[in-house]
Amino acid sequence: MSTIDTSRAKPHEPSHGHHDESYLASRGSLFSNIWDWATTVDHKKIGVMYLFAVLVLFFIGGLAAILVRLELFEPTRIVGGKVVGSLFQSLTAPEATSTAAGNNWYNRTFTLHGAIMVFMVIVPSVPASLGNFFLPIQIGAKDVAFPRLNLLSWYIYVIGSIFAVLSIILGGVDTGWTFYTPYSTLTDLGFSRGAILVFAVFVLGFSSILTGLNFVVTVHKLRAPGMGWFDMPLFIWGVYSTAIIQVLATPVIGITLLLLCMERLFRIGIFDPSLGGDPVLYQHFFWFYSHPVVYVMILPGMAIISELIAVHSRKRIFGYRAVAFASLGIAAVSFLVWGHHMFTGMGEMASFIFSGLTFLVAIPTAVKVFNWIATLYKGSIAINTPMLYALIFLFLFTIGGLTGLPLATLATDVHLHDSYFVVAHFHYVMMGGTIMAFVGGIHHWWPKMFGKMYAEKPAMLAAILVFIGFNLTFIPQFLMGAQGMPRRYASYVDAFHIYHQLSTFGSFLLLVGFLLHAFVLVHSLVAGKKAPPNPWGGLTLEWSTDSPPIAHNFHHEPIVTHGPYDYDSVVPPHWDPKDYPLPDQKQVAQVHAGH
Amino acid sequence: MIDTILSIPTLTTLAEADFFKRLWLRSDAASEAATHTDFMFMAIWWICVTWFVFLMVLMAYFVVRYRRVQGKPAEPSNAHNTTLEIVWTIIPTLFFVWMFFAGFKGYIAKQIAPGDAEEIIVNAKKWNWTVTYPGGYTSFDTKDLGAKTQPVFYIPAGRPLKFRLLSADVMHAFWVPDMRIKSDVFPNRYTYVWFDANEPSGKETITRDMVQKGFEDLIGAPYADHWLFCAEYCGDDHSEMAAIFRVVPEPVYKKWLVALDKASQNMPPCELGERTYRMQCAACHSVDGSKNTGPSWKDMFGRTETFTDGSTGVVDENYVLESIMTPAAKVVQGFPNSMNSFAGQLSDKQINGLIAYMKKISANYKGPDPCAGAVAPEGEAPATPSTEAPKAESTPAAH
Repeated sequence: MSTIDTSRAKPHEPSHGHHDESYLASRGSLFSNIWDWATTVDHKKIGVMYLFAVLVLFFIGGLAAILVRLELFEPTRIVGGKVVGSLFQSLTAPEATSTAAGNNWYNRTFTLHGAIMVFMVIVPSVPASLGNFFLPIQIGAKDVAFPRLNLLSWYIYVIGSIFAVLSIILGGVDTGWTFYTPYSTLTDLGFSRGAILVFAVFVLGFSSILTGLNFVVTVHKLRAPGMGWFDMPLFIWGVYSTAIIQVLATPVIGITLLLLCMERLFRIGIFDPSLGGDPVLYQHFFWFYSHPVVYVMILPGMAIISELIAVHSRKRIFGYRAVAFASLGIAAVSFLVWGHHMFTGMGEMASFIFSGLTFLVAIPTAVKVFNWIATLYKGSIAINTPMLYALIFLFLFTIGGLTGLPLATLATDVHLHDSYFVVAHFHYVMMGGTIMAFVGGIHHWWPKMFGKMYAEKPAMLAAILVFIGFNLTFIPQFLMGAQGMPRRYASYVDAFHIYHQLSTFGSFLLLVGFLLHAFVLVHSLVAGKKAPPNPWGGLTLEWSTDSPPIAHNFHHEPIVTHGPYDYDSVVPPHWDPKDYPLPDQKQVAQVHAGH
Repeated sequence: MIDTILSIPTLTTLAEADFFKRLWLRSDAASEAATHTDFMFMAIWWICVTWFVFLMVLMAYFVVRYRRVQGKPAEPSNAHNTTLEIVWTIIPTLFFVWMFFAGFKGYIAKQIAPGDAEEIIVNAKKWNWTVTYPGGYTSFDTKDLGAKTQPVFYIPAGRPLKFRLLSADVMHAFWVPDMRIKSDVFPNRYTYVWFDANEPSGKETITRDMVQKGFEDLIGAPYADHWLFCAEYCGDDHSEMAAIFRVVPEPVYKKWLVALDKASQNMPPCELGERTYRMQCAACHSVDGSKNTGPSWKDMFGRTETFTDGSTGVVDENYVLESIMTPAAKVVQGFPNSMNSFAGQLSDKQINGLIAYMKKISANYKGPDPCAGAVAPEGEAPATPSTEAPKAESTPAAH
């Protein structure tokens, strides 16, 4: 029983020279290599470039978070006034020389953190990097449907990010990543940097739309012969659901931000009441995009977790169809819950409806967690970095999901809204969910992407540091939020001092953990052992090709003859049945028939 | 059915467990609606803890029990089980349905004020709160908290109070954590919140140093202080935009209103100015020389300032008036143009008071004692001759 039935494959196409080489193979001089990468239409190279850009921006956004935590270490101001702020401050807020202007400095720093992490890191993280690399390979295609469009998406992303960084260099923006009106149309009116950041987010949206469009078409049209919809790996289901949201929701934020710029620059009254507009209209528009985009962030994370758990416990995902449909269900309902960001500013009827719809989205989410845990039952569970991250995800994401319940409940949300409880909740979902899955996915697919193994033990140590640091950072934030600590405060009443201190210590631990991860991965590139084609015994198509893959992904067009998770009946490609014993096939047949 | 669930003894008992309630909510709920919210919060917390522990124990057990042993395949097992999947979809759904309806019930109780509620008007502006009582009075009380002072607003216990909220500029949010209520404050429409504060426990009573002259009747009365925070990001001093609601028994509140009425009518300009400063201006202007969002008022009156357009001018009565009415006209160099107009929000009397107060705290002001008042005997005028006074009276050089 083989993974790929080559007898049915088309005759070997004439060789195109270097197409049988690794996609990473050098093209000669440094300049030709750079030119080759800059003009490539290979989805793998584009995926790697996205990965690099996202990690760089993750580092910048992370540093901003550390500065925010430093400021909050004391109830009154310590950063931005004297202690640490000077260098960063001279970049971000040169006019901020006094203690009060330090507030302004703090506001710019948390805006920087939020805008970078949301628009430039978490939204593109999984789909644009790992999705770009593995979506075509997992469905057995040579590339995405529109390779040139894919390169264009990358350049649009880079241009958007450059504009965002420009707005920071010009002095930063103090609106918060949500750009709420009328504050955002009135602040820093003498400066254009606010409009530049908003424009940057507008541009980034196009990158998102084009990537989403590309993925939808790719999944519909380029699946390998033999791969029906329900033979697709769950990673594809997750990324596909994400792509649909990206295509449908992103234009709304584009239009909204354009209107915001028009109001700011030309004083056209849309959101500002002094010009005859309505600020709540902005919130409706903004969250009509930004709530679905929460699922753009989390669905790909869930998609990775489905892969990690299946591969590293050698199990079929429990309730494959339920998980696949839960992805689509979440994607659909995600468009109908935006109002839960505005429970304190809407009428009772609207709040009633949005609260109900919000609980509706909780159901498929809960079902997914049950399915993942049930998958572990009777598995053969390897403990390595990817699996550790899958378990960390289950732990943190479950907390993130459960703490969403008092926020969906109207009576309690009225108290908790805009408090640190909300801050902690969405960090548990966005960071504890998506970023943990992303880091787990990077380790899972690292050998495939770069052909090198990473050092397992240091990476696991880093994962444990990240886990402890994360909880230390955000559990105190839950407590002080429920006790009355509002969001976006540069200084606070003394009662919250101890919680803020614990949280800051946690953030240092997180930083150490991530730096160790970075070190392990760089070390792997320089001195890692060569990776075999299928180090984990995976059954999806990317594990049947070389590590790193050749330029055309596969030597022959693959034909799919088994499901993505048939671990109990198929020996994985490049594995010896002796090293990979299958369970007794009669027993397997009985179990499947018995159902 | 909801009542049945609510009355399951274990759930209620657990929800009342004191340690976790302290850990999560710190303060006691200060109104009846808040007590319901606390019950909801703790009930949801216990449901979540139960589920979380169950799931994590299961996960940990599976990871240990089924850890990979080299050469041993995974045991075959079903890849799905329709009955199980339906059951584990329905059970959480039932919990969600309870949370949804019970939460809505508590929310409506917090939204809809009783018909006999007393209406109190709250105005939000960058970066302070103003409370106007029935009869048009505004509070002048402040609480000294070491590094800064915060405005104090007295409110009566035991009767429903309905707050009508309006912003003068951007969006703010009115949050009294102890009452577990919050509402956004918009610049273009009124929003309302209400609560019915519990009687203060009596552990704390008003002391002499907490009251100003004329308010001595309040000494000895029980009180409870509750923070009011701005919860919607509103710019530079968002985190300074706080105030305190002081709950007192209703008779004490009435005494306070009477004292406030008297004090408002015959307050000397300097005192009125200082109180107005603390209520309206202290978020951005210091009086000890330290730099804040706006220039410090210490020694400012009578000083020659350079403005952002490079011109200079002396801070005199007209400059102060102009800066209150049209703050953007002349902004002192080194400060952001972030002040809003107070036109229509301060009375002429208050502006006169502010001018007198600024004179009082400025070494650059060389005129007669601004606090002496019209009836002050001549002998109490400042002894030093005011040679530089005419300069301070001149109009700014530019414009």
